[in-house]
Amino acid sequence: MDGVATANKLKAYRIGVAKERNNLYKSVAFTENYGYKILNNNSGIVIYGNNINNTINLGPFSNNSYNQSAYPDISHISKIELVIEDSSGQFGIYTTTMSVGLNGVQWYSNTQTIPTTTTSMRTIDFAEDFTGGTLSSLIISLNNNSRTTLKSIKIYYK
Amino acid sequence: MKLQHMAVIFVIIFLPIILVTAYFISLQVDTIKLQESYDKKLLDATHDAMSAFELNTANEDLSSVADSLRSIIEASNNIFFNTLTTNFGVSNASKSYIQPFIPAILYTLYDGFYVYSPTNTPEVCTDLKGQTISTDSKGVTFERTINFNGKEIGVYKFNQDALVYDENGTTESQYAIGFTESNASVNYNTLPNTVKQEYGQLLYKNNDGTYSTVLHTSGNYATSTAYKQSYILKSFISYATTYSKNNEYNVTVNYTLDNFITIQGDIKGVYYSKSGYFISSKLINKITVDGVDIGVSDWTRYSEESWLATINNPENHEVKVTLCNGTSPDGSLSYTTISNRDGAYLEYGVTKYWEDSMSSVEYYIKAWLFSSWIREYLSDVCATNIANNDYEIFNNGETAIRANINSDKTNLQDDMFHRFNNDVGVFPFRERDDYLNDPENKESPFALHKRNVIKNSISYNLSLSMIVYTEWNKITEFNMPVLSDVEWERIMSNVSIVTFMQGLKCGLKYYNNYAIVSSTNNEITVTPNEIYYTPRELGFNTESSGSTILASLDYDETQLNHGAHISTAHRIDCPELPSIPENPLPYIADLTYISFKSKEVKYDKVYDKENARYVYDHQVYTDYTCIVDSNYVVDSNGEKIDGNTNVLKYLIDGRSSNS
Repeated sequence: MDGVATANKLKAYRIGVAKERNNLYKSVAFTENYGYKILNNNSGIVIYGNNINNTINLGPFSNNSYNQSAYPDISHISKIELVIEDSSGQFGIYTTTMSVGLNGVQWYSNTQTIPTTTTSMRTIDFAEDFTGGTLSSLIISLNNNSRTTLKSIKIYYK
Repeated sequence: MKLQHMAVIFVIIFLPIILVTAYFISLQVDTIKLQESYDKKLLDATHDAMSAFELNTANEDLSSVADSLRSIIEASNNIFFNTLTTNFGVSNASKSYIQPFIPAILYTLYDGFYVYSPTNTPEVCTDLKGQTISTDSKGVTFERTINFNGKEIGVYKFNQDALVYDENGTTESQYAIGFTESNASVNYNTLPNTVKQEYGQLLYKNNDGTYSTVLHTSGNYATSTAYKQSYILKSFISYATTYSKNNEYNVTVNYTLDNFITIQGDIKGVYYSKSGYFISSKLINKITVDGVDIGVSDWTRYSEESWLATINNPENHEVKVTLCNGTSPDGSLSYTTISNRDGAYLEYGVTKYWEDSMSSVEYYIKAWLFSSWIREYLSDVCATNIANNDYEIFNNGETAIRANINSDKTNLQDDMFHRFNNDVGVFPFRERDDYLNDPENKESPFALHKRNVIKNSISYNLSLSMIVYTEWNKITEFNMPVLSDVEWERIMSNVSIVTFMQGLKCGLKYYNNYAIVSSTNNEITVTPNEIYYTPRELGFNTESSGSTILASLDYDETQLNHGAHISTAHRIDCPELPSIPENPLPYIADLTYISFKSKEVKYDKVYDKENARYVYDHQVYTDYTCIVDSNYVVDSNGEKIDGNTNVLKYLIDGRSSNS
């Protein structure tokens, strides 16, 4: 093969492998799907039921590795994913419902029921046709007499 | 004694021996024949299972969603038993005849594996309509408490006759109204304080017919939880392991068949969740944006999002990535530069950009960001930091390794970690940042460690299945067969199915063998060797519409030197793959190759599901020589090619033939 042909095939090979891997990257279930990890807290934030102060100020988005400094537009958000653990309720409370608020606007149309009888870690998704300005704070609400620990928040774009 | 007498005595003594020996040998021959026929039946059935898997994943857009994949595997499993039972001359309805001889079926997928095996499962209490019964259901009565490991466990009874069904088959007022008011027998207030938390929970059957909410095995068989034997597809198990070091990190790394990894966990007090392709730091040599050189060490300069926005805006920005391929035959380094503007073409006078170029530049940039992050945050991780609570096998191995490391740091005997010493870790970029540390190189410490992690995880889970199976049978002892290194290599390079068949009477012995079938044609993984290429001819097999462009470009087919091979896809190292001319016409300067990851190229297959782009306007057939592995994949020394490194080398060397 001459040099040009070799170079073209090398390029084709590089593009072929990269393109296919990139497509697989987009499609595999466990990828982040352009999710933004906006809170990573090993000790977690304890969320109490009936407490109006469960507000989390988000600030400019940063995942501690890239210099992201933009507030996302709420209408671009497709899903909010929370990781919680150590959920508990007072005696007789076996489940509790959780809802999220964006910039103070509560989205009760999409509440999630979580058991309070287990302390194991679980992932809760809030998918909704959210509307509003740019996201700067998140409110997590729980039913009375229950509590949970928030480990992480991830925002997914549409 | 006369000679005749001696002859008669000889015949009397030896004839029976010869007859018995001949009979025994014929039995042995029959046994071997039977074993061969069993081998063939098992391989046939495994092959059918893989065909079903490939077909289902190819035609299922959601095949990467875990639940969908599970149903595909269950279907593949059914096909396996269907073929196997048919081969044994019984119908699938008699599956139970064959099932006891199949201790395990292993499905190794891209990022984890499934094991189909016999398992002991607890029996959940249900009524005659199949509805689950909990402690607050009607018909349940509290009997007493028993003590298990210092904790009180409630014992309940369930009376089916207490339930009344309406015309829909559901019970009226089955569940309690509240915690104090209840029409059920068990009331929250009346439960003893020690078992109050059991109120409302599911009931599991005990051996004596009573029920409890907690699974327990005590010295008293009657009051222990009853387990039933069932064959199930166990939960998906990831190729994952956890590494921890005091106050520094506690991360779980999920490996895949290629260099894609997912990392979740705590690093210096911050929880991270990241995934991406892990590439060598030597791969990317230079990155330029609009002609400005961005240093390859300056990975924090722009966010991933702004990179993606720039790459996908070729109208205004050009991103070029220069890749180092390795050393050419003349000793110089070989480089390839790709740009997000490669392969651009004119359509109705407007420049259009090629999806493949943008996608490939995107891949390299994302992989570069991810790998740089790993180098910065996780370069300290060593194989010896695998967390103690991971697997028992690993545990034991690790203990042995630790002992070795403590006594003699340079002499590690255990092959699980023998490539590592105390200073070189899983992501070893500080020590030897050269070709050997390329994660895509199968001999790199990273790849070897990854294989050990996967191998241990699979071996452990398969061994468990065999142990449970032996317990059930009591007669035959089932053992995990020893797979050879070559077989492990096959299992860990491609999506594979491994089926085990043991205990079947086979002439003079019991049958014990396994079959491995690997897939090179599925939609859930990318094998560099299994990508097929064909020249991308403007206006012909591109996403652009044909006739207008052909007319405007004064298309002259004779300038293309591929002649008869038009519309045939080949491997990149196939000598039949047309070369692009050295001095192409101006409009061919953009000509390059399009590629497919499937042998069965579907021209109407849309690869970009979000944008629904890249629809080919004609079908491309795949070269016969290229799709039959045994025909082709050898290097100039006649040795089998076992990875993209060799394909790359073939390309760098500029050889005219790889066969």
